This record gives sequence, structure tokens and C-alpha cells, in this order.
Amino acid sequence: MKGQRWKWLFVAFMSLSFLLVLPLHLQAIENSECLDCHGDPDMVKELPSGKTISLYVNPKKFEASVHGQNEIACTDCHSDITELNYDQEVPHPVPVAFVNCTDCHDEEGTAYEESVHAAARVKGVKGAPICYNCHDFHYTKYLYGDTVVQLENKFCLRCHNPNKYHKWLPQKKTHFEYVMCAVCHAPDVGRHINLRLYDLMSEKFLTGEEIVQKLGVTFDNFMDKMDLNKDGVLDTKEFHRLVRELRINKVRAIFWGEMTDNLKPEVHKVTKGRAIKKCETCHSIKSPFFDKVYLIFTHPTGKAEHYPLKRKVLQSFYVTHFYAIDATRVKLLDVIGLLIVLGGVAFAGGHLTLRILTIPLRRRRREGR
Amino acid sequence: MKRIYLHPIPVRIWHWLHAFGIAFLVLSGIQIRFADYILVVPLKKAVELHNLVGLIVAVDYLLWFTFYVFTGRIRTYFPTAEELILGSMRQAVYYGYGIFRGDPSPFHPTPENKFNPMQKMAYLFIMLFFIPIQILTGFLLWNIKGYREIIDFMGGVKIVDTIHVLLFFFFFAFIIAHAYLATLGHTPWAHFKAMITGWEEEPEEEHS
Ligand code: HEC
Ligand code: HEC
Ligand code: HEC
Ligand code: HEC
Ligand code: HEC
Ligand code: HEC
Ligand code: HEC
Ligand code: HEM
Repeated sequence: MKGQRWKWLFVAFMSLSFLLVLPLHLQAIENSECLDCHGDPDMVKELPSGKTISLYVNPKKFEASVHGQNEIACTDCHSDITELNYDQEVPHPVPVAFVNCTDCHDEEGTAYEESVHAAARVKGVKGAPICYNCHDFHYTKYLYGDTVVQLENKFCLRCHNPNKYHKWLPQKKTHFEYVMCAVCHAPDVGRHINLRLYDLMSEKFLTGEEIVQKLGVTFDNFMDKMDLNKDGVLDTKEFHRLVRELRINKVRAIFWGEMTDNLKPEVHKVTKGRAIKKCETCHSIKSPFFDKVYLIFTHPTGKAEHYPLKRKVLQSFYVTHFYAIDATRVKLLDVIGLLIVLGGVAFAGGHLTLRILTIPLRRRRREGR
Repeated sequence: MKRIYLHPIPVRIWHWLHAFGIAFLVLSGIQIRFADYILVVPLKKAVELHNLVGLIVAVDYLLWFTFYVFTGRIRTYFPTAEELILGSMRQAVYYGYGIFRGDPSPFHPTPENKFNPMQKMAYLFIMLFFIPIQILTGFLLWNIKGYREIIDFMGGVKIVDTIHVLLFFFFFAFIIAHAYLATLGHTPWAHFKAMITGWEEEPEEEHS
């Protein structure tokens, strides 16, 4: 029984590795140990100036953060704390070393280094942000589920008032609501259009779970069920079917569209003087900014499914609450328009021709009298 | 030759302001919607000018509306029951047939009754529905975030824009037809001259 032997060998190997790894694991400091002290809401530290700062870390909120979800331990970030020595009043060195986010997020670090923000920091400008001035540290969330407005409030608007700039841009507030700052200010990041289901009555976005539940599908088989020709993208016809399904299942919502960045490290390369300014970059039916379109279903974790759609969907009347001049115009409308205008021309031209052709008739009549 | 003072000065000023305004809005509208195909001025300029002239036309329309409503002149736009069917038919037959034969026009303007029945109906729709709707949708598109509730109520920005664009095509066609119809006076320039000097000339009828 050759196969059997291999199986046993495999099991033995696995057990051995487990035993070898176990002690390492035990040595690592569990989050709960830190939270024995830092999980106390009243834990504060008094500064020489008399002010106090909280040293409390909310265990539940930390658990729900990206890092908590991905089982990043306290000591993965506070990596200078390698052991807890309970003989001392404070069981670890103080001050704790500076946390380097870029240990794990090196690409973001590189992009950030090339940004105006890093440059301002080097120059010593007060308030120039590093990673966790923008992102927070313990309670960082996944960003996939955020809308443009949420992202802007979370990030840029805390420090900048964009209404002070952008005098050249008409409808500033409209643009800021539908176009994420980084689309223009971090031009290397790439961008796409997100469509979400939004209920005008309750003024809320529907969560992914609500939608799948009502449609009777799952996150995983949604595409399978809707993408009839299996090309991996929903075209206008398939989108039409989705709209019908939504209606049948009493999902009352409109499609909320917006232009956002690709959530890639390059988003951090906020540069000066290179921001997109030319209207035609976006306001053109040829603009590549509308090539990638996704339907977003959010997960409770803050992650989100991105189901790809054809650009044509934006140019249809299924998407009524998002319209960028030229870029997403309905072509059928132009055909109708052409007919209307041609109608006017044909009327004038035809009548004029007849008028000219009948000149002899009128002359004869006048002379005959 | 009979001369009638048809268009008082305020009406003439208003008319030409309005005519150039709308023609300009049509042209800049073409630029905005079809910037992909023809780019005479940058989109940004076209948008700024369109918005500026749009505002002028809106104010201009408001002036017209108050003037006509308060002076009661608005009545010239309403066809009487007789005109509504018989009158328009008579006029249509004239435009489609009689005019080629050299028949006299069945309608004779007076300062109190300037428009023939077909004109009345066309102008009534345009001045009381199409222009105001175009101005309204224009204002909504002007500040999409600010007027979001009204826009949502109307079915979304694309719907508002569709109305604006369909009417744009209509006005485009209308300007062509309107300018052409204006050449149907007793001479091709007669109506144009009247709208500039105020005086409409009409040939004396040989028999009546
Ligand atoms: C026995 C209680 C206790 C435990 C367990 C404990 N700490 Fe602390 N920690 C403290 C005290 C007390 C301070 C305040 C020190 C001071 O006064 O500067 C502190 C301060 C800190 C600071 C802020 C230091 C600074 O620079 O201001 C960090 C970060 C920190 N602890 C992280 C941790 C981590 C991570 C763990 C788990 C590996 C942990 N602590 C476990 C008691 C504890
Ligand atoms: C993603 C990295 C990361 C993880 C994981 C992390 N921390 Fe922190 N922590 C930081 C950063 C960054 C700071 C802020 C340093 C600063 O403000 O200078 C910080 C600050 C602190 C402070 C100082 C008080 C404060 O809130 O500013 C304490 C206490 C602390 N951490 C405890 C913990 C504990 C306990 C855990 C595990 C439950 C933990 N940290 C997990 C990055 C992390
Ligand atoms: C020990 C490694 C580690 C360190 C240090 C670390 N992170 Fe993370 N971070 C992760 C992992 C793992 C994820 C989850 C990535 C995923 O699921 O795609 C993550 C995710 C994130 C996300 C969410 C990204 C997304 O896709 O939405 C942000 C934001 C983030 N980290 C910010 C920070 C910041 C700010 C710091 C410094 C305070 C930091 N991280 C330090 C490992 C780390
Ligand atoms: C100026 C504010 C700002 C600073 C500073 C900043 N970020 Fe970000 N970060 C953002 C924004 C905005 C996004 C994109 C959000 C979106 O579009 O969904 C982002 C996205 C991310 C993501 C998820 C996207 C990806 O790259 O996978 C990670 C991880 C991240 N940041 C880590 C960092 C780290 C590490 C640093 C420090 C080197 C840092 N950030 C500094 C604003 C900032
Ligand atoms: C924590 C505060 C903070 C956040 C958050 C922040 N910035 Fe900044 N930003 C600054 C500071 C400080 C400067 C440097 C200003 C200076 O040099 O005078 C700056 C500079 C800039 C500049 C260059 C303009 C100038 O005056 O030099 C741009 C563009 C910019 N930020 C865009 C953004 C965008 C886009 C976001 C969101 C992704 C963002 N910022 C988030 C603080 C912030
Ligand atoms: C349509 C593109 C676009 C959008 C959207 C946009 N910006 Fe800008 N922004 C620009 C351009 C172009 C400039 C002119 C300066 C330049 O070329 O960098 C500018 C200038 C700025 C400046 C001053 C920089 C300087 O050089 O003085 C700041 C700060 C800024 N923007 C922040 C923001 C923030 C915050 C948002 C999001 C709410 C935002 N911008 C959205 C294109 C945009
Ligand atoms: C980064 C891409 C981008 C740039 C650059 C940009 N826009 Fe827009 N603009 C948009 C988007 C997306 C909308 C759609 C908002 C909505 O759905 O209501 C919009 C909306 C508008 C609107 C409102 C009417 C409509 O289409 O719904 C006007 C007017 C407008 N833009 C003019 C301009 C002008 C003029 C410029 C150049 C000065 C410009 N935009 C630059 C993306 C852009
Ligand atoms: C009869 C007159 C008008 C015509 C023919 C006209 C035509 C057009 C056209 C074709 C567009 C482009 C739409 C698209 O590409 O989808 C447009 C956009 C727009 N129109 Fe008009 N329009 C007229 C009157 C007005 C008025 C009176 C206003 C304002 C009071 C106005 C405000 C706007 C606005 C705000 C836009 C969006 C683009 C921009 O900001 O310029 N329009 N118009």
C-alpha cells in the first residue's frame, strides 16, 4: 500500500512542523496581554504639562479593523516590544518606538515619499500628514466600501478646504461630490466608475447583503446568474435583466454613480502642478476615465465586490442619476435630435424649392389678370 | 401700400435680444454636447458662455412675461375657438397651397391681433411651455448638487438633461423654420424690416 504510507508520512510531517511552530507562537505576546492594561477605558498617561492622554485601545473596535481582521498583533506594529516584564511598573520600554507602517506597506511608502505631503513634512510644514494622520492606526478600516464623499471626509477635507481653490472649475460642489480628489490630484493612480444602489426615500445606500438577500443570490454566484453570455462583464442587455430582477424583488433604488481612484498605492502620490485640469479629459465620449465601470456590493467587513459592467451601461437610461456631459451621453437621443433638426431643414428647404418652382405660375397668374 | 405699427420698441428690443440669445444658446449647446466632434472653443469657455447667456435669456424672458401679462398683451397669444380649428386650417392650406399660386394671405395683422392662428399656437407653446421648461432645466443643470432634491424628484440628472437636450433640438429646428417663415412676407425681407423698424407694410388688396 504505497499511497497509504505517503499519507502517514504526510501526517507525521505536519504534526512535527506544528510542534516546532507552537513554541514560537506561544512566545509571541497575545493581544489580550496588552489589553489587560490597555483595554481599560480609564487608562491615561499624565504628561509633564499636566494634560492627560488616553492609552486606551478599544478591543472590539480593534478586532473589527483591517488589522484586527487580518490577525495583525499589537506587537506586529509595536515591534520593539518583544517581551513583557511584569517586575517593572511599565512592563515594556517607554517611549515605545515609532511604528513603521511601511514595514508591511512598502509600495504605499514609496508612493507617499514622492508626494507633496512627504515633501512638506521634510520641509517641516506643520500638519503635513504621515500614514496614520490620514488613516488612523488602531481602527483602520477597509476602504473598498467607502463612497467618494466618505473618503473625502475621512481624508482630504480634514485639512483642506477645496472651495478655496478650483476657481476655474464650474459646479465645484457637484464635482467634489462625484469625483474623488485623488482622481485629479494623484493622476498616476488610475480611476474607474462605481455604481451603487441608493434608496432615495431613506437616503441610504443598500448594503451588499441586503441586495443579495432580496435577489436570492450569493456574492459568489451573482455574476454567474446575471452574466448570461459568460464574458465576465454585464452588458446593457444583462443589466436590463438585473434592473428587472431588482424591480420584481421590490428593491427600490437608483444607481448612484461616481468617479473614484483605483485604490492602489499610487493614490498617495499627491503632486503639485500635475493635477488634471482639462475638462475634455473627462467630458468626452472617448474619455478613458469611464472605461472601467463596476457595480459595488459592500460586505459588512468594509470590503466590497466589484462586478464589472460595460461602459455602455452608463450611456443607457438605466443609469439616470449620473451624467457627465459628453462622456455618458445617450447616443439615441442624438439620432432623434438629428431627425428633428433635419425635419426643420427639410420643411424650410422643401417649401423654398416649391416656392421657386412655382414662380412662373404666379407670374402667369398676375399677368393673366 | 398700407403701413401698420405692429411692434413697439420694447418688443423689438426684447425680440432681438431673445433671438440672438437663443441662437447663441443653440450654438454653444452644440459645442457643449458635441465637443468630441467640433471644438471651436474649449469646453470650459462654451460652458461659461452658455451659462452667462442662459442667465440673460432667463431674465429677458421674465421681463417679457411680466410685460405681456400685466399689459394684457398675452391675449394676442391665445387663439379664439374659431381660429383654433378653422383658422389654422385656412392658414395651413394657404402655406401649403395658396401661397404657391399667389393667393392673398387669409390673415391680416393688426396691433391688437398680430399673429395668425398657426403662429399663435406655435408661439403659445414655445413661450408658455418650452422656453420656461428649458430655463428651468437649465437652472437645475447649473447647480446639480444644490438642486439635487428637485432633480431627483424629476427622475435624475440624465432625465433633466434629456428634456433640456430634446428641447435644444427643437429650438434648433424652430430657429431654422422660424427664420424661413419670416421670408414669407409680401417680399422676403418685409417681416424682418418690420421687426427692426416696427412698421409692417402690406400691399393693398385689389378686392375685398
Ligand atoms: C501592566 C500593564 C501594561 C501592559 C500589559 C502593557 N502596557 Fe503598554 N503601557 C502601560 C503603561 C503604564 C504605559 C504608560 C507609560 C508612561 O507613563 O509613559 C504604557 C504605554 C504604552 C504605549 C505608549 C508609550 C508611549 O510612547 O507613550 C504603547 C504604544 C504601549 N504601552 C503598547 C503596549 C503593547 C503593544 C502592549 C502589549 C505587548 C502593552 N503596551 C502592554 C502599561 C502596560
Ligand atoms: C497597524 C499597526 C498597529 C497595531 C496593530 C497596533 N498599534 Fe498601537 N499604535 C500604532 C501607532 C501608529 C500608534 C501611534 C503612535 C503615535 O501617535 O505616535 C499607536 C499608539 C498606541 C498607543 C499609545 C496611545 C495612543 O492611542 O496613541 C497604545 C497604548 C497602543 N498603541 C497600544 C496598542 C495595543 C494594545 C495594540 C493591540 C491591541 C496595538 N496598539 C496595535 C500602531 C498600531
Ligand atoms: C504587520 C504588517 C502591517 C503593518 C505594520 C501595518 N499594516 Fe496595514 N495592513 C496589513 C494587512 C495584512 C492588511 C490587509 C490587507 C488586505 O486584506 O488586503 C492591511 C490593510 C491596511 C489598510 C486597508 C487597505 C485596504 O485595502 O482597504 C490600511 C488603510 C492600512 N493597512 C493602513 C496601515 C497603516 C496606516 C499602518 C501604520 C499605522 C499599517 N497599515 C501598518 C498589515 C500591516
Ligand atoms: C494624505 C492622506 C494619506 C496619507 C498621508 C496616507 N494615505 Fe494611505 N490612503 C489615502 C487615501 C485617500 C487612500 C485611497 C482611498 C480610496 O480611494 O479608497 C489610501 C489608501 C491606502 C491603502 C489601501 C490602498 C492600497 O494601496 O492597497 C493603504 C494600504 C494605505 N493607504 C496605506 C498607507 C500608508 C502605509 C501610508 C504611509 C506611507 C499612507 N497610506 C499614507 C490617504 C493617505
Ligand atoms: C492631516 C492633514 C492633511 C490631509 C488629511 C491631507 N492634506 Fe494635503 N496637505 C497638507 C499640508 C500640511 C500640505 C502642505 C501645504 C503647504 O505646503 O503649505 C498639503 C498639501 C497638499 C497639496 C499641495 C497644495 C499646496 O498648497 O502645496 C495638495 C494638492 C494636497 N495637499 C491634496 C490633498 C489631498 C487630495 C488629500 C486627500 C487624499 C490631502 N491633501 C489630505 C495636509 C493634509
Ligand atoms: C477636476 C479635478 C480636480 C478635483 C476633483 C479636485 N482638484 Fe484640487 N486642484 C485641481 C487643479 C487642476 C488644481 C490647480 C493646481 C494644480 O495644478 O495642482 C487644484 C488645486 C488644489 C489645491 C491647491 C494646490 C495648489 O497648488 O495651490 C488643493 C489644496 C486642492 N486642489 C485640494 C483638493 C481637494 C481636497 C479635492 C477634493 C475635495 C480636490 N482638490 C479636487 C484639480 C482638482
Ligand atoms: C476628473 C474628471 C472631470 C473633469 C476634469 C471635469 N469634470 Fe465636469 N463632471 C465630471 C463628472 C463625473 C460629472 C458628473 C456629475 C453628476 O453626475 O452629476 C461632472 C459634471 C459636470 C457638470 C454638470 C452637468 C453634468 O454633466 O451633469 C458640468 C457643467 C461640468 N462637469 C463641467 C466641467 C468643466 C467646464 C470642466 C473643466 C473646467 C470639468 N467639468 C472638468 C467629471 C469631470
Ligand atoms: C433655448 C435655449 C437653450 C438651448 C438651445 C440650450 C442647449 C443646451 C445644450 C445642447 C446643452 C448640452 C447638454 C448635453 O450635452 O447633454 C446645454 C447644457 C446646459 N444648459 Fe442649456 N440651452 C438653452 C437654454 C439654457 C438656459 C436658459 C439655461 C440657464 C438658465 C441653460 C443652462 C444650461 C446648463 C447649466 C447646461 C449644462 C452645461 C453648462 O453648465 O453649460 N440652458 N444646453
